[in-house]
Amino acid sequence: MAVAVSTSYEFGYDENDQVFTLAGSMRPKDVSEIDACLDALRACARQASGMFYVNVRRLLQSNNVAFNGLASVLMQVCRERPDVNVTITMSSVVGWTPRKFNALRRKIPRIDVVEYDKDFYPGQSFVEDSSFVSVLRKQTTMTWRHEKHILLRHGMGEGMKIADICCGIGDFALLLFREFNPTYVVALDHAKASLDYARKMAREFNVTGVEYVYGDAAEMLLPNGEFDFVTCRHSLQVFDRPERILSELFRICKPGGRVYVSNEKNSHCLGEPRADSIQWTYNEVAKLWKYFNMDIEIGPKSRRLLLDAGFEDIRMESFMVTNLDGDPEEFADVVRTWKDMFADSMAKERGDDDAFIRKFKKGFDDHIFAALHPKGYAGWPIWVASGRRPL
Amino acid sequence: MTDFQMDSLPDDGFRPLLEFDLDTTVLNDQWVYCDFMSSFVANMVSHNRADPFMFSNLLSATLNELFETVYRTRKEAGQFRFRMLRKGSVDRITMVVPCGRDEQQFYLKTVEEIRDPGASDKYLELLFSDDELDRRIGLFELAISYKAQMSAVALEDKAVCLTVDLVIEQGAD
Ligand SMILES: C[S@@+](CC[C@H](N)C(=O)[O-])C[C@H]1O[C@@H](n2cnc3c(N)ncnc32)[C@H](O)[C@@H]1O
Repeated sequence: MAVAVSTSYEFGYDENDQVFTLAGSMRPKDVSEIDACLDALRACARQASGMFYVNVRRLLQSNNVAFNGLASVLMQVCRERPDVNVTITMSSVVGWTPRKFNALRRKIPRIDVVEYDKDFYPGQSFVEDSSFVSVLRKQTTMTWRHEKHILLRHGMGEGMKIADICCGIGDFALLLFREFNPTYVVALDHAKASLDYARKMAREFNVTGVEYVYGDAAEMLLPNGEFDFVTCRHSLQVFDRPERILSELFRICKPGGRVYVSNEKNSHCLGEPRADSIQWTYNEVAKLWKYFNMDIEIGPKSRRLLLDAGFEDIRMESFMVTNLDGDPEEFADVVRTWKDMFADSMAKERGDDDAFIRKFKKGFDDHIFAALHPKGYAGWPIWVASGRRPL
Repeated sequence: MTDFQMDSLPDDGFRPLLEFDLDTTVLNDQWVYCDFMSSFVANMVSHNRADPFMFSNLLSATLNELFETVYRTRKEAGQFRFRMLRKGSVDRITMVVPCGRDEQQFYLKTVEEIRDPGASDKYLELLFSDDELDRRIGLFELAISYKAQMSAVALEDKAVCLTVDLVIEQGAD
């Protein structure tokens, strides 16, 4: 299994944000072996003012010797500095942490313990909602027709070790598995409902070569330089800082391997007839996402993002999913699910009034109308880009 | 030399996953083996769980506590035996630790203590203790935090066999 095995740990302090970070694996025989770390923690906490954070999101392991040492220092800090509020940020991905740190909070209620991944990302609750499953499934059916050919131009081949990050319901990973005969596929996402669905599908199709892993794309627990091909589709757009995800994709990619991303620019969705209403609505979609700090317009920015992340040999192209690709009803279905998600959940959450929501929905209805119209045309453009991690 | 056959232990339909022996002299002076063995075993037996990463992380944490407990046991010369079995979502770990009567008593008594009504409080007291860490902490942690079922049996006066049943992932098949 591709999991980082770490027998050492690191610590560091970010003075700006007053965050003390611990990462790796701490399993000392005697607490004196981690004195340097505990002393640093104590010293940083002593000079902190207001909030003091301890980040254990990547502390993969800690034995009781180390935990007891950390807890003692934190309890001491709380005694000495009643004016400082200690917050421990942990990740639900690292299973042992909630067990122990919640026990610490029960002991010292002044210590706050938060699972940071929950409200860390804007719009997290929308994209982790299980109703999102049906949108994703239909989208993949339609994009795959194009991408299975496109992937070849971006370096995909047989027998590779592949990671699909933000895999959603895992259907793309299954398709890759069948089409390209990889040696191994790991597919990671942060939505448990989607992963459950993915595993169910894999069982149904009798696929055992895809491993579905719960994780946080911004801080993955996958090893460095492991994968020949790393994909991340329609997902940079759900993060407010896509460069953080890209640096993680870069890290897990083998030197010489490639990272492949696909992204949208929703304001470029189009249709005839009723082009104006459609155009208006998708411009509003872009603004709506922006309100939630997400960028659904990222598509054409992919090249810059890949270059800034350190990739070379960037290849980029775009394609248009249309009502003519297959059954136009499929296209209409996808737009229906967008309408539900964007108009009914997101716009309502933003507090939009009924008049706006009515007009907003009208554009989706017109897009559906265009898709199903005997002489109509409806499109959803997508940009794919890939880059090589330098050797 | 103690050499107990684990095959003679009843396995109640459990399927063997992995097994090894280690000379206690090696274990006595290599602390890092606790970490190596727990990481290795956890990775080996996690691949077909629903969430392999989460499973392996938790299994490694629990195994490490067990190995550290064994490390801190005064062992007699002989073979330390480790065996892991699985039935559905239950993972069974059996360990035979060659040791004298005192150390047998440590295991037998601790396994009794973790069944006491006050065991939860005792666990927290050990976990946050200001003194040097009590070596019962590992077994308490498995019982309280991981709800492991445990039993210990003295094998003559030469060894102790500890059996730990763990459910890390509910609903795993
Ligand atoms: C728009 S969907 C794309 C899914 C899939 N790649 C596809 O094309 O169908 C975005 C995905 O990112 C996942 N996601 C959001 N935040 C995440 C995080 N911090 N770590 C991993 N995945 C995350 C969501 O759960 C969701 O499945």
